[in-house]
Amino acid sequence: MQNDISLETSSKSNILSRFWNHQLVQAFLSDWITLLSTLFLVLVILCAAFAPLVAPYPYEEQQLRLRHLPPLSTGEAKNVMVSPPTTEQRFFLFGTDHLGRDMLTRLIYGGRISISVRALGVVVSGALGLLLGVMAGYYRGIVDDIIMRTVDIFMSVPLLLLALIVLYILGPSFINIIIVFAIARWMLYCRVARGVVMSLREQAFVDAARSIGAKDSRIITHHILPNLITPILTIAALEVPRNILTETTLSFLGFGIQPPDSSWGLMLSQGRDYIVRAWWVVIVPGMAIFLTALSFNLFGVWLRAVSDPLQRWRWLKQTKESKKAGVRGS
Amino acid sequence: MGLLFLAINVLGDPVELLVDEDASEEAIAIIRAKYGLDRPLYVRFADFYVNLATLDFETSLRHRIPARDIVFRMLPNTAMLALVAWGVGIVGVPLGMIAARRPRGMIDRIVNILSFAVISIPEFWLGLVLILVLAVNAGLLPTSGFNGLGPTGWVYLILPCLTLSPRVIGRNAQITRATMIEEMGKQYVSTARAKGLGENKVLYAHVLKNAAISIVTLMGDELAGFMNGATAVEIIFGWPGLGKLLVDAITARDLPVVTASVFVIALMVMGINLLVDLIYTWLDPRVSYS
Repeated sequence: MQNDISLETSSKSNILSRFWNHQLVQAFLSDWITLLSTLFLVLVILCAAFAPLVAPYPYEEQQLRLRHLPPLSTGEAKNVMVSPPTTEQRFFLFGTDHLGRDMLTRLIYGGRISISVRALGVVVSGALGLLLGVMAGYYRGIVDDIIMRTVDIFMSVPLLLLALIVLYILGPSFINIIIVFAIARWMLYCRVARGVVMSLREQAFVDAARSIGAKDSRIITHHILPNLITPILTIAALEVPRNILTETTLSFLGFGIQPPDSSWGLMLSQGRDYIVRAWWVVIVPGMAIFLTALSFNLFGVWLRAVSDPLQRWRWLKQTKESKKAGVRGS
Repeated sequence: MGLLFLAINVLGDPVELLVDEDASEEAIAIIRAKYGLDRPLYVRFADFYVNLATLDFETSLRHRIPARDIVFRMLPNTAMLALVAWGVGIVGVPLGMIAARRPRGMIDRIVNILSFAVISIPEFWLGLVLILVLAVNAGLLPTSGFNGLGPTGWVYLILPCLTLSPRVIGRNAQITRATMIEEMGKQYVSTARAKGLGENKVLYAHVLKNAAISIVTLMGDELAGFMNGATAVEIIFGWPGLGKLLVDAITARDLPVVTASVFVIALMVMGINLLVDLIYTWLDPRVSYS
């Protein structure tokens, strides 16, 4: 019995160490810029997902006596909701805003909305683009013509303009912003998906599948879609920072997330009026946006490099060499 | 433009965009009749195109002057800001060229990281920080405003341009670097080197020329994007351009001005795309339009 358990654990650790020693994992760990940006993204996403557990103080609570406290300061918060009012010593890592709310708490809750808007926006536009792109590339003919001309029309409309018009008509809300991203960004996925499908459908394995009597739906889901995952994921990773900046701009212009909800862009635009008195109300959310966008950009570029065999080989070689030379590669 | 008409008239009732939420039924009916919105959809659609063709966008509901005049007054301001910021952005091309000379060299890494950093910054945030640092704390430049496009107005142009151009520089540097490195892996480069051409000649006479198509495409995109992408920056710096006009018109429910500015922006974007297509045929004679 005991023997069995030890055998099992040893085989587990064997798998783990094999994973650990795999060249991709090793190269990933020695590539400290990608590693840092990935860790940062994981941190931000975890914070957003578990906001009520992570956030130090209640999200809506206003303490007007504590307004515009600089970062790293402490203050006494009064709780008047209980019958003998209690006081509580609080520490504000990023200071407080114009209503005495903790910036860190606002940042965590704002990130929740900001990140879900971006992620859903990318998912919805990616799904729409993928569907239409596969249809255009697989069936060709008139379907292809109609879809690609529509892509051309949408491509000629600037993103922000389209977003403003749609939000002007539908009114700003969480769902509508996602609709905007879906309408405004599906074309890129569509073009790429169509291109890949067009070359795939001429390949021998698709002919083989057809010759044994597979239906179109089976060919698409079992033979073509798996080959599309990598290019689409890569575009998605690079689209996220773009959505971040657009969402921020929309919120800033007043067409994005509406109060009392909060997003990083909204925090920026609310802080704008107080920038001279309290620089942190603008700098802190701005840095959050900047670092998240930068991390997504770096991660996306890495993903693109790794998904291309030639580039992956170069990258592996480069990180190995820099390790040998004792230099930390970038 | 047809898209805009359909969007306004089919997705939502245009009257709702004109009146307040708590307007009475009679008030809505009066406004509907006044702007001809009680006519059938196809009549209004035809009318819309006739108006576009004659550049007649009716009178602005807010300013009581033809919407066309307002838009044409704002157009040079936007064009000025866009051209200057875009012009500064060309600096990115030589930066990318220097970086591509020695891929994975020191300069290449610095340019690469910096360009990624620069394109990740939200533009209006950079604007706010620049106002805080250069205008409020150092007092070097005016915080915002506009004083004509002449010699007295240029001080107001500096901060908006400093805000807009880093992103363009970064993107230009990135695309130049990427395409140059890609081109350098091709066989004609080896041939050119083998016949004894100097490295400068190889890079600038052969590689750059072939990389130029991608660079021109991106630069065209950037310029087209500025036609409305500078909206947030225009608002922060109080620059009276098309982007600010459009947002103001949207918040003031000024439908004729919205239509007119969207039309002009779309026209500019189309013009730039056409120009880029023409430059293609000049750069690469294999591309032809029949």
